[in-house]
This record gives sequence, C-alpha cells and structure tokens, in this order.
Amino acid sequence: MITMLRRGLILLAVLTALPLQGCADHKEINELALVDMVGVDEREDGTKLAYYQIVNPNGVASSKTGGSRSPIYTFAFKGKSWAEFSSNASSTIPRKLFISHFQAYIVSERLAKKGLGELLNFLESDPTRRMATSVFIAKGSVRDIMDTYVPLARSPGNELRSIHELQAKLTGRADRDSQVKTLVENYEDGSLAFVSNISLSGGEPFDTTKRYETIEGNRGNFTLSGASIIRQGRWIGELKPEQLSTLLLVLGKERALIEDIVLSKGASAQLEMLVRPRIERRLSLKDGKPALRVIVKPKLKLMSINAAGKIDSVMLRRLERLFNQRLEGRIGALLAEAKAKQWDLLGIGRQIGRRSGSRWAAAKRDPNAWREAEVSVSVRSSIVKTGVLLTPYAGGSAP
Amino acid sequence: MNDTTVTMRQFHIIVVFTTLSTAFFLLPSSLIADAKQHAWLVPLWTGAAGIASTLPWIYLARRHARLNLMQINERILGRPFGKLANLMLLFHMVIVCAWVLNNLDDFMTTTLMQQTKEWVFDAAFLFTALYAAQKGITAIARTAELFAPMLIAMFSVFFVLAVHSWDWSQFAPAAEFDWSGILRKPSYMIAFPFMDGFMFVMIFPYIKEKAGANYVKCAAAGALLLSLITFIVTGVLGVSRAPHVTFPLFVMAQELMISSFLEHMEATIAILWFALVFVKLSFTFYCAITGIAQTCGMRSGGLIAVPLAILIVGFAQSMHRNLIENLEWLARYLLPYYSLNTLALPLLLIAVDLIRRRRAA
Amino acid sequence: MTPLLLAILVTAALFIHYGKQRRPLKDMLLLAALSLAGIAQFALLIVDKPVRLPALIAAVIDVLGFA
Repeated sequence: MITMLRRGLILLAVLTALPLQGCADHKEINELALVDMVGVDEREDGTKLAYYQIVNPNGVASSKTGGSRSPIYTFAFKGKSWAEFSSNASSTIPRKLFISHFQAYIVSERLAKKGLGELLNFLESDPTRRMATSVFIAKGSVRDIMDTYVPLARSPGNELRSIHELQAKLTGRADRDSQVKTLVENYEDGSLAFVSNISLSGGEPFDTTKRYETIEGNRGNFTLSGASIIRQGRWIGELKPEQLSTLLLVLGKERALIEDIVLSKGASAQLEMLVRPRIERRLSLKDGKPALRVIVKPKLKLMSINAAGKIDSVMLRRLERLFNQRLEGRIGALLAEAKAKQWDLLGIGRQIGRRSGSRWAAAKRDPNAWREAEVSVSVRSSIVKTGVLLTPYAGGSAP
Repeated sequence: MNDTTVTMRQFHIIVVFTTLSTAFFLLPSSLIADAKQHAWLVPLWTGAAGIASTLPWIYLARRHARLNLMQINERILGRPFGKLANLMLLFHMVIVCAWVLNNLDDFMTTTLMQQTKEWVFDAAFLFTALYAAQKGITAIARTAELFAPMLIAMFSVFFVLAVHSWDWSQFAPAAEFDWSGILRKPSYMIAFPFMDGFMFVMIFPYIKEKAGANYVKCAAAGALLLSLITFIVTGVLGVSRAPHVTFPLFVMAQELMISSFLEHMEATIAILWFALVFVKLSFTFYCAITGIAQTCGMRSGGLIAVPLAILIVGFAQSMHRNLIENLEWLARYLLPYYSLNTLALPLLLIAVDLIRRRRAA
Repeated sequence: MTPLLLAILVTAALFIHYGKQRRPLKDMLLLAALSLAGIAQFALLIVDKPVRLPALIAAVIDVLGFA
C-alpha cells in the first residue's frame, strides 16, 4: 500500500516537473534574424529611422557556389522613439531580431549634429548589446550606405570593420577607439571622441547581387575619410585624414606614418614610423595658467632615399631634423585650428580634472581652463633602421 | 673537463666558420664601396695583417702549453693584475656576442621579418647558443662538424648558380688602384673578423697538437674564402650595384633563378648563414662563461650563463642607433680597440714574462 | 615591457633553483650582480636610455686620442 502510494507520488512529481520551463531562452538559429550592421538617422521633424542589415545564411552559402541569392537584406523602419524599433521589426521580419553580434553601427551626420544622448542611453540599457562595436558617421545618406553590396566580403559590416582596422594599422588615419563604448565613456567628462567618417565612393550604392559579377571594386564601396569630433554625444567638427593622423601621433596612438622628406631639388627620402611613439607629457602650472609640454619620440625607418652620395650619420641627423620640423609644423597648424574652433584635442581639460592639490583648485573649477593652456609640442625622432639600401643610386640626377 | 678534446678537423671547421660568420654577410658591400673592383684584395692583406697580429698570443700559448687565455694572464701577471687583464678580455667577448646578435637582428628586421621585435631574435638565438655552451666545447665542435658538409655543399651550389650572371667587365679597368680605398679605408677588417682569433687560445689546451700553426692555417683559409666571396659578389652584382645594398648576398639569393618555380632562395641562404653565426656566437659565449668562471674561481660557468645571456640580449639591443652608425663606428674605433686586447696586452705579457725569466735565471 | 618581465621571472627562477642547491655565497653574489646588471639594462631600454657599450669604448678612445 505504502509502496504504491510512494510510487504514485514519484510519478506525480515527475509529471508536474514535465511542463516546467526549461529553455525559455533558447535561440534557434533558423528563427533568428542575425543583424550584421545597424544604421540610424533622424529627420528634421524628429522622425527616427533605423536600418537593420540582416544576414541570410542560405544566401551566404549559395553565393559561394555561384547562386545569386542575396546574402544580406536591409530592412528600414520609421518611428518616434528608439525603443519602438525592436517591436516594429516583427511586423516585417519573419524572424526574431538578434542584435548582439553586429559589426558596425552607422550614424548619420545630421543625427550626430543633433546629439546622440538619447540613443546612447537606449543602447547602454540593453544588456545584450556590445558597446565595443565600431561606430561610423555617414557622410551623406545612411540609406545608401545600408543598401550597398561590397566586393570581397559577404557582409558589409565585416568589410567596414576590416577597412577600419587596416587604416588604423597601416596609415594611422583612423582611431581604433572609434567605438560606441568611447562615446559613452567620454559623455560625462567632455573629452573628445574621434569617430571615423564613411562615405560611398562613386556616390551611388550598388544594391543588387550583380555586384559580385563586376570587376569594378571601387564602385559603391565604402571609403573612410577622416573623422568627426564628438563631444558629449554631439558632433562639433571634423578632421581631415592627415589631421587625424597628426593628432593620433601627438596622443601616442599612432602606429604607422610615412613621411616624404624633400632634401633639395631632386633629392628626397621617405621615412616610416616603426612602432607607436613614446610620449612624454607634462602638465604644469605657470603663473596660475596651465602649461602642457608634449615630447613625441618616434622611431623611424629609412624606407627609401634618393640623394647623391653615401648615407652617413650626418645625412641621417639631417633627415631626423627635417622630419621633426615637418611634424612640428603640422602639429602646430592643427593645434592652432583647434584653438580657434575651441576643440580640446589633446584632452587638457580631462588632465586638469585629474589633478589634485590646492594649486590646481582654481583651474579645476573653471571648465574652460584648458583654453588658456600654453601648449608646446616637440618631436624628437631617431632613425633606427636604414633598410637594405646603403648608398642611393645617383643615376639620372648626375650632371 | 680534462678529458674533453677537440679533434683537428673540428678545430679547423670552427676556425673557418667563426672567421666567415658575420663578416661574409656584412663586409662585401662596404669593401666594394671602398676598393671598387679590387675589393677582393682587401681580405687577403687584412687577413695577413690580422693573423700576424694574433701571433703574440699564439707565441704565449706555445710557451704556456696546457694553459688557456685566462690562466696565462694570471700566471704571468700574478693574480690581481691577471684578473684585471681577464676582465678586459671578458668585456671583449661579451661585446662580440652582443655584436653578433645585433647584426643578426638587424638583418632579420630589415629583410625577412620586419614587424618582429629585435629582442625576440636575440633571445631565441642566444638561448640556443647558451644550451650549446653549457654542453661544452665538444658539443659546439660536433655541431660545427655536423653542419659543415651541408653548408659547404649548399653554399657551393649557391655560388655556382649565382655565377650564371657573371660579368667580367665588372673588373675593368683592372689597372687603376685606389690605394686609400684598398689600404686605409678598409683597414678595420684587420680587426674584424681576424683579431677575434685570440679567443681560440681559450680552447688551445683541448687540442692535441700544434694548435697555433693550425689556427694560422685555417684563419688564412678563412681569409681566402672571404676574398673569393667578395670576388664573386663583385662579379655578379657589379661594382655599381653591390655597394648600394646592405646585404649583397641576400640580394644575390633573391635574384637567383634556378628555374621559374624555384626562385627566391633568400630564406634558405639566411638559414645557412644562421648556422655560421651560431658557431661563432656559441663559441664566443662559451669562452665568456668559462672565462668568468675561471676568473672568479668557480667550478663551472653554468651558474652565470643565464644572467650573462640576459645581459648580452640587453646590450645587443642598444649597440647602435642604426646600421649606418654601426659601420661608421667600425671604421673609426674598431681597430684601436681590438689592438689593445690583441696586440698591446700580449706584448706586455711577453715583456713581463721575459723579464721574470731573466730575473729567475 | 615583456622582455623586462621575462628577465625578472627567469632570474627569480634561477635564484630559487641555485638557492636550493646551496651554492657558495661568492657564486651567488656574482649571480646577483650579473642579474641586476641585466635587469637594469632592460629597464633602461624601456625608458630609452640604455647603456651603449660601443659609445663607451668610443668615449675612452677619444679621450686617449688614438683615433
């Protein structure tokens, strides 16, 4: 009797356990709409636009075997608030939006000028979104950028990221910290973020899979062009690619730099920076005003040289000097422009804010103290590699 | 330690390899720049002068058979002064190690692996040398012996193939001698690589017979080979091209075309060169650690080998700002510095020795 | 930075190893001196002011006036 009761109880327990929620959070890959790239825009009247580029797994597979199904689809939505889109999406997309793995975030320039505060707050409150995602500012229409196929990579987001990485690594004309994370981090203390600008080359998007059948690599492809300066989530200006590279050098973030030095008529040399330069940065108070002294110490490689005679240490010294002058000139011009436009490019404001002690109290209270700062930047390069050419070929330049 | 011996053949190979090692990769282009088509004469006369200047040490080694460099110093000069002299020689050995590594990492980072950090090469290479030196001179000698046939065969094939693009007109005009280019400018070659030869006195006790005479014979062979290599470089790359490139042999290997699918031999040649560099490095390092151990009265050099290696890797990275300064330094300071250890010191020792003997008699 | 850390780690390992073997004090002192010199050189390399042996030799020769 008791045994039967016990068996019955066990059976009951098992039966009640069966309908328990087990995997309510399960995600079936076939039911997900994997978002690869997101674009956001805002019209003048406040209507918000969002674009989701969604990967089509079948398309990715079939396009490898020569089929012409699209590997990606772009969906566009309109709404009054950012939070609306996730629910709006299900009205057109037959799958559940899966946003946590997207590659790039495209923000229109006009939205950036209005301010990104609302958007950033919304993004940060979503636990599934990675904030360490690359962010780009679209020059021109976001729609065009979202609606183009790119060569070599199946997903435009991936390609955009690779282009950005390569630019940062090889030419130094992109800031690695062009990420949503940086925008959020810099939001409170007013330091600047440098977000890469992208535009479409040729101006026209290439929006059919015919893209994969043409040889024109450039057409409708992305181009990085300098960076926008974002302060507290708002666009305040932009830097040309060369200016960005100069700035990154002073900040010690630059990894690559190639400089053409003209020695005299018909004689020139190319110097390449080898590693990230060492930066010596000292902020002090001079007569109550902050003074910043930055010394940049790049290590250079002599890539090529076209000058008469054997390369000797005198020549190398001269090249170093010319290189220093060139860069100091460029840095000076950039800082002068920044001063006129009131950009705190070197982050002096933040550095002052981190100082302690009563001497700094006055400067800390004044949010514009950095504008009075006396900035001097000097470059001290040294050539540590001379390449495989020991003596340049004099050749045609001989009389 | 007493039963270790180095056979005659091993000794020959070590001497030739250490003479060639870094010199034959670095020197030809500066030699050709200075002496033009007569560059091949330079290794001959500098070799003669360099080997002649190691004779005082060899004389000392013969008078004090069964003693090595450090022991000779202490025997003749007494303990305190002997140790001082030993320190000078040890400093020389350490700097040669650092130099060899520096040349090696310079080569690697300018040609084959441009992105890699220099200390990685230094550390990896010196680690191997350290292991070899710990195993003793026999291990180094046997390694050299093992590598020898391979190296000889590969380099012969390489040079024979390179001779395809030989051009006799590179040697014209043969008559015009630029004496300053042949004699004065490349005179540093007396020092590097030939004056380093005094280090072999460290292993003379392990050699059964006539170490000195054999050393002279093999160093001379090394000089001949260097001359031959310079001759080939001149003939293949030409007087107008060779001085421009830092590593002429590397360029030769790059441009060598055995057939349309077998070209770009530079990595292979570089690896062969590493074998030569390895012999010189491990030998010099071995000398340095045994020298330190003897000077400080330790049983073996094993204890200080690793810290010494760390120190050398540190020095190797800061030898020069760049290759150009390295070459300028060599031309200016190398001969005076080397003469101190290779000529002045042994002559002093001989003088002291003679005076002592006379007093005793 | 990496080479300095490596050097320190290796040195520490060596000290433990030889310390266990109870080597004579003189040897250990020599070991300490050499290790310290090596680590100091790596530290100087980081701040870009390493000891340059050739520059040292050149200075001595210049003072003596040989070259």
